[in-house]
Amino acid sequence: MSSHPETEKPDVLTTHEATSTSGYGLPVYILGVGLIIITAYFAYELLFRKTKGLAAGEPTFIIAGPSGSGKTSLFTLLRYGEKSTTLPSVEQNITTKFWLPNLPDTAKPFALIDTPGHQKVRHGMFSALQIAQAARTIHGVLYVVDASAMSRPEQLREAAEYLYDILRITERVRGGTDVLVAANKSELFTAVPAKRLRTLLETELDKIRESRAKSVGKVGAGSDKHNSDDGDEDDGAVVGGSGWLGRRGEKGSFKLEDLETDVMVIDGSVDNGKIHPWIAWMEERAVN
Amino acid sequence: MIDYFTVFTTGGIVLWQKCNQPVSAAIVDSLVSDIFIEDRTRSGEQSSLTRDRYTVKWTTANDFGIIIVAVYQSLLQISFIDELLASVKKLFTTLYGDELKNKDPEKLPVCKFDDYFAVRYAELEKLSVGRKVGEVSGAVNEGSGDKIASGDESEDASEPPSRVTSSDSIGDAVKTEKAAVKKPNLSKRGGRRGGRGGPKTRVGRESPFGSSGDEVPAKKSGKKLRKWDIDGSARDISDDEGPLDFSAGKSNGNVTANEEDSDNPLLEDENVENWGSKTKSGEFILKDLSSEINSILAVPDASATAEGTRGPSAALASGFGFFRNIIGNKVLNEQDLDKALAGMKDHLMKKNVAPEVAQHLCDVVCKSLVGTKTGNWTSIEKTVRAAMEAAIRKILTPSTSVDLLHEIQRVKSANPPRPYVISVVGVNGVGKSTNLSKIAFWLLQNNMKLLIAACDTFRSGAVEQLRVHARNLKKLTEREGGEIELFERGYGKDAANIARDAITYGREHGFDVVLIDTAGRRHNDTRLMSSLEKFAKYANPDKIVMVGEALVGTDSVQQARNFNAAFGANRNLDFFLISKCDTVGDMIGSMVNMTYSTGIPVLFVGTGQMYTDLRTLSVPWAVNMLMA
Repeated sequence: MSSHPETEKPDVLTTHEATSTSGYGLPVYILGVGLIIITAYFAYELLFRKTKGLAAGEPTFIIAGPSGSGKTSLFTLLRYGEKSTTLPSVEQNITTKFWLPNLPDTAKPFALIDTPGHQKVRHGMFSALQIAQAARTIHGVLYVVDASAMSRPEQLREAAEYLYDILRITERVRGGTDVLVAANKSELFTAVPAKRLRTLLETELDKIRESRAKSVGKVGAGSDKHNSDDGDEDDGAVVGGSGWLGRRGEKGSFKLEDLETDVMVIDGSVDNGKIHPWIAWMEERAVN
Repeated sequence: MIDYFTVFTTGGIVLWQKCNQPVSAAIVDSLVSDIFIEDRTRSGEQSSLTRDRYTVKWTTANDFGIIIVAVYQSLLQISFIDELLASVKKLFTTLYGDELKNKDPEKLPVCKFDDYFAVRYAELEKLSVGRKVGEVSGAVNEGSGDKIASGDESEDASEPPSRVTSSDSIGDAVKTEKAAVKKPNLSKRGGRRGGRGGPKTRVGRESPFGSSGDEVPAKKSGKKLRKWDIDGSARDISDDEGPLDFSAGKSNGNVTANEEDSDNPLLEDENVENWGSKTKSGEFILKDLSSEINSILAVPDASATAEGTRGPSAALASGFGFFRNIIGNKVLNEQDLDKALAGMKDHLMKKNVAPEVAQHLCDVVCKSLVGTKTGNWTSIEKTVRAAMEAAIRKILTPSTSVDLLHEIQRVKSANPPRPYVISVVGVNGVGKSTNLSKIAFWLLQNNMKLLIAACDTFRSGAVEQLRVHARNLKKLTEREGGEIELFERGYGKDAANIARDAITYGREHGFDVVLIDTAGRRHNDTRLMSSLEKFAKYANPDKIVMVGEALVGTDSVQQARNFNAAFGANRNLDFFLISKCDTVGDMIGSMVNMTYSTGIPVLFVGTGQMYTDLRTLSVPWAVNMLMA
C-alpha cells in the first residue's frame, strides 16, 4: 500500500502533458476514459475480491491437536466423507464448504480449518483462532488427541501443554470458545476412556499452570514498545508468561468446569468412522 | 528399488503412494517432519536427506501445493531418481493439475497414477542401464551384470502395480493390471533397441520444423527410441516415438503422428482424432499410456518456446507490473523475488544475521514462494516479508517445549532420587558464571536446594567469583527457603572429575539441582574443546547450556556448531542462553545464527546486570525485532 502515491503520480503527469501540448482534444478524452476504467477496476477489486475467503466470516470450526492424533483424517472424513491416508501436515487444510449433516436446509456452510500439530508450526493455529474469535465467527475448537497415547506421560504432557495454550486464548472472550477434546483412536485397547482422560488432563493442566506461574518471564513482555504496539492480537502474549487459568487456589485445584470455556471430552474414532458424537457436538454449537 | 514413493499435499493428505517395501509409518512421519517442518537439511540446494538406512529425495510444486517424496535404502544408488521425481512432478501436475489447483474441491482428488509410474520407472531404469553400458564400455562384465539386475528389477516393477491396484480395488483394476504387466516389457524392448539408435534423434530435435519429411522414416526405423538415452532434458522426449512406434506399427500407423503435434501444427487435427479413437478402444491403453506420458513430458518444450516469445511482450507486461504489484494476484517467479529478497537479505545482515544464514533464509522464502500467487492488494515486498517472518519464526520456535521446573520435579521424584544436573559452556567472557547465578536465583525462588560446582579450574578468580555469587544468593533468598552451597576443589584439577565428585556429593546430600560452571574456551581451539567430550561423559549433565553473546556476529554460527559437536557423537547441546541482549538493541541476529546452525532452541535470554534479568525467549518478540 505504501507504493500507492508513487503510482498515481505518473498518471497526473501525463494528463498535464497532454493538456499543455495538444490542447483539449481526443487525448484528454482517452485519458479520462482510461482513468474511469482503472478506477472502476480498483473499486471492483476493493468491493468484491476482498470479501472472498475467510475474512468474509463464515462460521468456523478449527481442528487442532498434537502431531499424529488424526486431525487431517478427521478433516477429510468430515469434509469428503472418506478418510484418507495422511502424512504430517505442513500447512493448514481449509474448506469453506463444510455442511453439517443434520442441520436445516437454510443453514449456511461452515469453514473448517485443519491445523498442523507440529510444535514449530502451531503459530498458525493460534492466529487463526484469534482472528476467528475477534470476528466472532468461531463456533468451536475440536482438539483431537490420540487416546491410546494418553497413558504415556510425555504424550499426555504435550497434549496438555497445547491445550493449555489454546485455553489461554479461548478464555479471553466472554463466555469462552467451546472446546471439544475429541479422544480419537478409542477403538484401540490401550485407549484411555473419556472420563479418565478428563481427570488426567486436569491434573496435567494443573501442573502446567503451576510451573508456568513460576517460570521466568518472557523477554519483551509489557515494557517493550514493539509488543505493546501489537497488543493482544499478536500471540506474544499468548504462549507465555504468567497467565493463570481458572480460579486462584491451591495446587491441585484446577477444574475444567471453572473455566469460562466449555470443555467436553468425548470418545470417538476416525478409523472406525465413529464420529457422530463429535458431529452432534458440532451441530449443537452450530445453531448457537 | 524405491521402497516408498508418495505424492501428498502440504496439508498432509496423501494423493498417491506406492510402497514396495514396508517402511514403518513412524519413520516416514519423522522424515516428513524433519524435512518440511523442522527444515533439518542444511546442505543448500540439495534436496536429499539420509537417515539411518534410508535416503529421502523430494521435490515440491508450490503452485499445486504438493510434495513428492521418494524413500529408498541408502545402500542403493539410484542414478535416475532426480529424473524420476521431475517427471512424476510433471506428469502429476499435468494429469491432475486442475483438481489440485482447486484449493477447496468437492471431493478428494482421485489419482490413479500407478500405471504411469510403473511405465516411467521402467523406462528410466532401462535408460540408466543403457547409460552405464555406454559409459563403461570397457567393463563388459559389469555392464552385463547390471543389465541382468535391471531385468530382474523391471519384472519386480511390473508386479507391484497389479498388487496396488487390486488392493485399492478401483473399478477398472483388471484392465489396468493387464496393461501394467505388459507395459514394462514393451518399453523394455523399445529401450534396448533404442539404445543402439544413433544420433538421428538429435538431428531431428535440433531442426524440428525441417524434419516433417524425415520424421516418418525415422520413426519406422525405430531408432528414434534413442531419445531415452539423451533423455536428460525434457525436450528430447517429444522425439521419442520409439516405444510407441513398435506398438503402433502393428495396430495403428497414424498414432506415431501424435508426437508431432507440438512441432507440426498441420498434423494436429489428424492427431487428435487418432488420439481419441485410440483412447476409446480399451485394447490400446498400453500404448496410449506411454505415448501420453511422452506427450506430457514433451510439453516443457512448448512452454520453453513460449517463454522465448514472451520476450517482446515482457516490456508491455512490466509496464503494468507495478499495477499488478499493488493489486496483487501476481504469480511469482524468481526474478520478481530476487529484488525483494536482496533487500531483505541486507536488512537481515544489518541485524547481525550471518550472510550464510541470511542467504539460507532467502532461499527458503524463494522456494516457498515461487509459483504462488500474491494475495489481493499485496505487493511482492509484503508477501516476501510475511514469508520471511514465517521462516524466522519457524527457525526460532523450539520443536519440543522445555519446562525445566517440571523436569527437575520429575527427576526429584524418580526412584532413586538424584540431582538434576545443568552445566554451562561457552567462549571466554560471554557470561557463563553470571548467567549460571541468574538461573540459580530463579531456582532458589522456587525452593530448590542447589549445589554450584566450580569446574573452572583455570582462570584465576573464577572460584572466588562463584563464592561471591553463592553468598549473595544465599542472603537474597534466605527468607524464601532456598538452599545453596558451593562445591570447590581449587585450581588446576581436572574439571570432569570435579564435576563427577560434585554430582556424587549432591546425590548424597539430597540436592535438587547441581549447576556446573566450566572454563571458557575458544571454540576453534581443539585442545581445549576436546576436554568437553570427557566432561560430558563423566558429568553426564541433564542439560548442557551454551551461553552465547548477542554481541558476537557471524562467528556465532561456527561457535554454535563447534560446541554442539564437541560432546561426542551421542551428545548435543540442549539449549542456548543468549546473554547481553540489552546491549544490542534490535540486532539480535546471533540468536538466529545459532539456532539455524544447530537446530537447537534458545531458551533463556540475559537482559541485564541483576539476578532477575533473565527471561525466556519470546519468538514473536524476536521476530518483531528482526523485521523492524
